[in-house]
Amino acid sequence: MTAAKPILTIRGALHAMDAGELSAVELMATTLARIEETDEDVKAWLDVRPKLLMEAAAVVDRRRSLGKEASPLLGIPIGVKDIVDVAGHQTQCNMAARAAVPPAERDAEVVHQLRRSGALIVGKTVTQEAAAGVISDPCRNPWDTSRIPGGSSGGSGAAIANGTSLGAVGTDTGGSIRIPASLCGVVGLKPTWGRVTGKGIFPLSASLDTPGPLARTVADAVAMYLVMAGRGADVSSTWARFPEGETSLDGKRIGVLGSFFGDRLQAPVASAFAASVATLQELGAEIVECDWTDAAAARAIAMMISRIESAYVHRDALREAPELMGEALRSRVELGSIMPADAYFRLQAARVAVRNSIAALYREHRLDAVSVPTLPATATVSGETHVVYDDGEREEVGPAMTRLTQPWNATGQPVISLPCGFDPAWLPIGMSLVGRPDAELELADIAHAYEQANDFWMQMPKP
Amino acid sequence: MVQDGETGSRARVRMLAGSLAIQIDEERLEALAESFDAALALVDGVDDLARSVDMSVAEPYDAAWQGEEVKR
Repeated sequence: MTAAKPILTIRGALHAMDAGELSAVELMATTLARIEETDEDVKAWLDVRPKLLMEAAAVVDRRRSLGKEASPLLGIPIGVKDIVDVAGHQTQCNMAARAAVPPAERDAEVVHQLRRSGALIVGKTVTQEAAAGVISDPCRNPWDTSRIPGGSSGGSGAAIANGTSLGAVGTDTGGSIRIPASLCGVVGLKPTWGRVTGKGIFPLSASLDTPGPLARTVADAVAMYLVMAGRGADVSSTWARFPEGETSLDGKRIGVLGSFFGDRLQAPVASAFAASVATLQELGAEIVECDWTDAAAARAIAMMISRIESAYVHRDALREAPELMGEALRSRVELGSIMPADAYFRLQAARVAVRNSIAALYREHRLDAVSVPTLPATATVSGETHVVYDDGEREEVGPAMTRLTQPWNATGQPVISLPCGFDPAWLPIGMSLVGRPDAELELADIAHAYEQANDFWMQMPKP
Repeated sequence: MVQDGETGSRARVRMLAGSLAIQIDEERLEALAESFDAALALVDGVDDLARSVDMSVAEPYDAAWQGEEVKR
């Protein structure tokens, strides 16, 4: 199941192009060939236009040959989740009601920033209907195409895992970057809420929606994040912050949360997470066992706020053409629509309280980050309705996959999910590192050190 | 419209949906009423947290993290 050749990363591709060992045309041709080869089974991509992409890559090579190019992601192929506007492409959001929507007239701000950085937008990646769920049908997991890639940024996760893109744009309202990152064995970065603009992105839940990158490595994800946040000028100086090879975590204090985050895990997930904590300790981090007693409340708060706010987004569709909505979306919107205003206000107040309590936990234990399993389970078979645990207990797929991710949407903290192992069926397992608001780079320091201490990130599904 | 003799969550959900011009057929009504009860229970479950906060005072989004040095 492992790749026979070195994995190409954004950093590696930029280095090779700078050294004249790789052209943008060659990189794009390889990307398109890989899509052609794999996407009939994986179905991660929508609306890929090879001729235009090859022409754009040729322009990149001419720009590079002029020798004055400072664009930080010049020639890098990037996928964009299909709730994010790309000029000239439809934004269908996997919604029947938007099947005939006109192409977007302009790029979403994050796409604009990526283009300014020199990135080449390969196409749209498959999402769950309206980005409200974890299945991302018809996309499948490249590690086992009978299984789900997770969602709602499922196509983005699958594209990275599959080697059909070096980076991809996702969005995260309840885990939609981290869930596919974990299930597909790639890195997902959910930034601090509000630091990457949602302008030009079809909303799900405005006070929770968080655009962010998926990529092969932590450093690649950080580079994309900086560009998406309008800080592209910082990228070139950032690569040196993440040196290849082992780095120390001396002086870092990492909290490991018990109870809520330790209960109901599949055994391979629990084992992989325990091993990852041991690795963090071996790298020099001080592990602090502690508990956040408001975690379940934070999860409930984010879940209910999401339902109410998404009902607002879809209010007209629910009245005028509910038959065009899938059952999961329709039920969600119906419920959110009838929730009393009083409930929404109480949820927002409780959200302030859980933000206070998690900040107090970091303060009390002087934490640099918290480490938790990203998900309690590995990828389920498409069509299965429940995750099954070792004791036979069952949990619906949607609630299971969002159980450990959603608390961090309530708090708005930055989270990086990165590969930390495989189950016996060779399905990827993810670990999450959760940081303080606006501490994305400090969080990435820890994630990068862990990543460099193992080779999980180098694994690829069999072609 | 609430139907004759209908009480409890079904009646409340029918009334709320009707007031918003949302069509809920009979097959969906029971499931929505159950979801509604469960959702209200979730909200009630965080009420103590909600009451612990003075929402009459506007604070910045990340106020909880400001004012004190979090790191050592």
